[in-house]
Amino acid sequence: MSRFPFLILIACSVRGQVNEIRFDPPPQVASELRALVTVQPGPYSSSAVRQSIERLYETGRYDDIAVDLTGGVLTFRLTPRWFVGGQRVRGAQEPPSSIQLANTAKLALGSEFSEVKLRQTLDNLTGLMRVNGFYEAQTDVRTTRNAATALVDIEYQVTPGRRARFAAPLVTGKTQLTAEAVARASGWQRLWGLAGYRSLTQQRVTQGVQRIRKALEKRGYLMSSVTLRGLEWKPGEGVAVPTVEIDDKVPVDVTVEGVKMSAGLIRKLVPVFQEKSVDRELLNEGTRTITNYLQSQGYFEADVDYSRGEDNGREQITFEVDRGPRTKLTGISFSGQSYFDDATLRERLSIQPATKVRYRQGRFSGRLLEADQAAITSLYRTNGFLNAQVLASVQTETTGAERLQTVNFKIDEGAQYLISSIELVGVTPATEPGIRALMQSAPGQPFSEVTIATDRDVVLSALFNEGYTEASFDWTVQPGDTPQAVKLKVELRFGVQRFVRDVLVTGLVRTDPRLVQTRLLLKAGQPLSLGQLLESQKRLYDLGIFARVEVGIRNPEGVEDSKLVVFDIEEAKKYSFSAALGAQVGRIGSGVQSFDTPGGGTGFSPRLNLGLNRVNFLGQGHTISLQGRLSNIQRRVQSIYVAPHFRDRDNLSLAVSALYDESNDVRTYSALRLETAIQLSNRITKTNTIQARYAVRRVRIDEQTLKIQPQLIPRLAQPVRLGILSAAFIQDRRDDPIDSKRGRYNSLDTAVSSKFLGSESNFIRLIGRNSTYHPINRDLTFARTITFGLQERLTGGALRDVPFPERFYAGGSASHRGFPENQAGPRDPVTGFPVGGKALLMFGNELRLPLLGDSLGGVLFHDMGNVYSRVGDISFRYRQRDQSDFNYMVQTLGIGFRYKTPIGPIRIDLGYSPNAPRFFGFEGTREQLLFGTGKQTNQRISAFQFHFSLGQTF
Amino acid sequence: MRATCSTTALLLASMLLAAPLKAEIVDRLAVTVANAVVTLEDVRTQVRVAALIDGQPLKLDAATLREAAERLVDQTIIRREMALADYTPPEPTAASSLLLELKKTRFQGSDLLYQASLEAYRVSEPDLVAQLQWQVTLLRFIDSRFRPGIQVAPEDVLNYYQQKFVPEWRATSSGPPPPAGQVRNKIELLLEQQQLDSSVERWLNQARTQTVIRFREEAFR
Repeated sequence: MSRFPFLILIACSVRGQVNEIRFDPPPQVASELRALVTVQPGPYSSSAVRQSIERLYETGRYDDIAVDLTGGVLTFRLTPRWFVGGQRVRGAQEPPSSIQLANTAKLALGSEFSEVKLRQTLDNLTGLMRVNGFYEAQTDVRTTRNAATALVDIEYQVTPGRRARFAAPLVTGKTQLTAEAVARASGWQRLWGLAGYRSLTQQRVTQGVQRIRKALEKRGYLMSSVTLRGLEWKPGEGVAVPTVEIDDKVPVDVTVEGVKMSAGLIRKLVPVFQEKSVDRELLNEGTRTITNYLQSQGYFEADVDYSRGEDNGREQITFEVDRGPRTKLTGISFSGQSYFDDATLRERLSIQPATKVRYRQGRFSGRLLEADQAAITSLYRTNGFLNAQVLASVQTETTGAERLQTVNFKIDEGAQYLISSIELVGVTPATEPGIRALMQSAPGQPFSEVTIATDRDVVLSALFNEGYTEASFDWTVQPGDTPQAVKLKVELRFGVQRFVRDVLVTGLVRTDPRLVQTRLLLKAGQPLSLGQLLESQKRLYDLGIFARVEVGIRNPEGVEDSKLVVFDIEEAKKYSFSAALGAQVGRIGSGVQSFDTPGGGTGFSPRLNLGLNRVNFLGQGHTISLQGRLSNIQRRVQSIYVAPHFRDRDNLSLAVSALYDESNDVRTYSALRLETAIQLSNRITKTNTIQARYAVRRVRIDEQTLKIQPQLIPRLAQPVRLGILSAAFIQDRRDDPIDSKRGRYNSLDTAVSSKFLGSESNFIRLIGRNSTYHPINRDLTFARTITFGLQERLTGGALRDVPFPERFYAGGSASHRGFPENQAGPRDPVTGFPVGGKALLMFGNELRLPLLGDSLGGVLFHDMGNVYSRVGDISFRYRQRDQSDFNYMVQTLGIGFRYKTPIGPIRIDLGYSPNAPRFFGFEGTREQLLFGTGKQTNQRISAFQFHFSLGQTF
Repeated sequence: MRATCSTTALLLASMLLAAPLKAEIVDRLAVTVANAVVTLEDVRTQVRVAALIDGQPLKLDAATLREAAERLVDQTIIRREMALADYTPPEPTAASSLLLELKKTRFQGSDLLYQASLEAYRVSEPDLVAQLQWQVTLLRFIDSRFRPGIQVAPEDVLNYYQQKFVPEWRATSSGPPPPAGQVRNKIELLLEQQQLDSSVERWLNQARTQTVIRFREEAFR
């Protein structure tokens, strides 16, 4: 009996004593949790336990924490928190796409997972399905929890059911439109209602409402309101009846008096059309935009006012314009400045004095003048002139019939403030030099808030990339030792450096995970760089095989030193198909069999392009594509296998291709070409690329199409097999490849065809190009190019000459604009058709200039050169000796027009060649040619050539 | 028989041992206010200190704990606001004078009685001082944060006088009510306090809707 009190005493004594600390469940890395817990073995401390709970909770990894003490063992009972992992949507029927549905889910990758949020997500998905006409859609969800990563993968299963169709809309409210007119305007009917109603999608609903509104606007009901009150689902009929509430309100007519202005321009300038409301502010804004428009047309003194009235139940808004005399801006001057010269200030200006062509009245408006004033002020402030004032004044005078205007910018620079010293707080001796190197602000430099704001962005960006995700940059200034000096004090707070715990990729189905790993810049243990996070995402998108790449940090708000980075990927569809119809118009000749127009005649060639791509072949990011082109001058099928990032190297790409091509783009013959090639490209730097290529091809010329003297046919029409090994170097330092204004482009391509490579003809070929682009001023660019090519036959080989189709053919919109397509160089002495040459020398010079406004530009060009019989025949000679001499330099002068579009300038070139080649042609049939009974004619390449194309010539 | 006795003794001993060795939750999460935590021990301390200050019997039932937890949630939100506003708390001496006052009024200046109460309520003196310090801090913070925005319009004073003061006077006192000018200052102070209270309440309610607050119901069972 005496043992019981003894035992109780033991028990009581251990209740206040902590002998051991445990975690339930045991963590994967116990040391991490031990570091957070401040409880030590010894007497129980409630404050230490509280602090430990707080620190554990701050990590964000636990949903609940309870602590019990049993027999000296203090146990932290932890309920782990779960986070959102990969999300997939199955069963979607577009629209909405699975991507749209996943985006609607709105569960951020890596954020805290909760069943409540999941239920909301399901509601969101159902809602999105309903607005797309799937009223019977069922949504379900399956979650998979991964204890090792604490991530919950979510798979939504959508069963759409049938999509509803629109039904005749129910129209409520006050409107002049009948229900039929509303139905017609909405676009919800199929074939103007003859084939019932279209299926319901969210986009069609929105567009329908907009169309009804537009229909009302056309009738002058600018302020009308159109609201979709609901869509009533009728399950039995499978339709949804839209209820549209329309309130026409008062119709409004907007007119401009005193100047002729199209309705379209009025709609563009007066904001009541965009805002669908009429108030004083919008009308004042309309006054300003009309004034600015007139000023931009040279009516600098235009006066615009508006009046409102009512006529026959319609509100009348009339803008009364007194545009005044047309004025020309003749001069811009600056006064009072000493720090910047006139040229530097002029570069900042949008207003422009009158020029002969581009701005006949000059470019001026009140808005532009204000913007220029602000731009000059900003330039001064950025350079330390904190109190700089710029005042623009306009002087107008009348000289004869002309009114001339000049603008003077009076500049009061004030004092320039310089930084006398920069104190960096919060840095260590090791980090300080690096931070200073990042900053543009430096002692002795002008003090500018703009520069410091840039410094702040640069420094913070650098710190974020080093894992200091909470870094901050604050700055203050104090007066320096001299009146115009300031002391800059920058306080940096680095915060905790975060590291990558691990990188997890989810969602891969067909893709080789190793391919993805090679694209990720973040690795476990490295600082958590936000820049590298985004760059990795970009690199994954660049593979072109993923439809969605979402990146998230697990438990983003939790206080943890290292974070799990998650990439959730949705692969793109395996196959894509494209079809396009087009046409080629130009001097592309007449029929295939005809001997007419050896110099090319205007032709029209409709074209059908078809493409089938299989992306991510073998899960390696490779692409196989099959491209077909069908036109009356070409039948072409090409299959290409492209392996970008070959052997896990970003700059390497391998392409293997097979080609079937039957074309008569060179008017002399129609050829069938079968080719297979392999090419390895290495982008050694951003601007330099080298390529190696081996191609084997067999070319057969259709004898029946060959338009040359008959005795040459057996020799030149032989089918020939070629094995060509080539190497190319390309250097591209142009600012914009489509419309270059500065920089240079160089390329050198060498090739050898030899029997050792499987060729029946031995020859070498070299083609080089050098183009440079020189900006003369802000508007003018001088561009020049030279192209040189030569072919030399090597000894040996079955053929005695370079095969016909391998020779140089040139001329046309992309080479020499004095010729139609492929019409330069030697010609058959009997038929006059081009036979190609073995040397090529062409020069192109262009002055690119603006013409009217900002969209229309022009060029003055001079092209000279030709395709020559051989390299020794290259000549700069101007005159053609006789009609069988083609080894001279054809000169072409011309003008061109360029209209800017988002895909590059649309190009029209008109060239005139005073020494365009003359040659003998043939009139007659093939039989007559064979028996020598046809008629010889005198032919000439037209001195005037016209080209229409996209993009600059070079 | 000896064997039976021994077995019985062992069983009894085991039962007695088992009672104290049963897992006892010493502390746990009670509420989280965004990333801030309120533990069960915080809530219990709040209840004990409040009971001690108010001289009420100590009750640690679920309802009382829940009510105290709500107060701590408000406190956490206000503390967060103070941190954001870089508010400087008053000197600790402010709490010392309140403690002296408390000792004088609640414990008739008797240190013995005071210590006995601390023991009875199981409250440590630092916990009590912290609570008093918080009361001072809160009052001053509310004053500086909300009072500048309070304005009592003369018509509000007049309305109150006519619609509340006079009817209440007539209901409780005999004789004519004092003229409005005589009680204007008192009414102004009263209305100011009312507006202040409702401002704080409004702000707190708004802050609560914008903050993720999670009560762990297990803590209040």
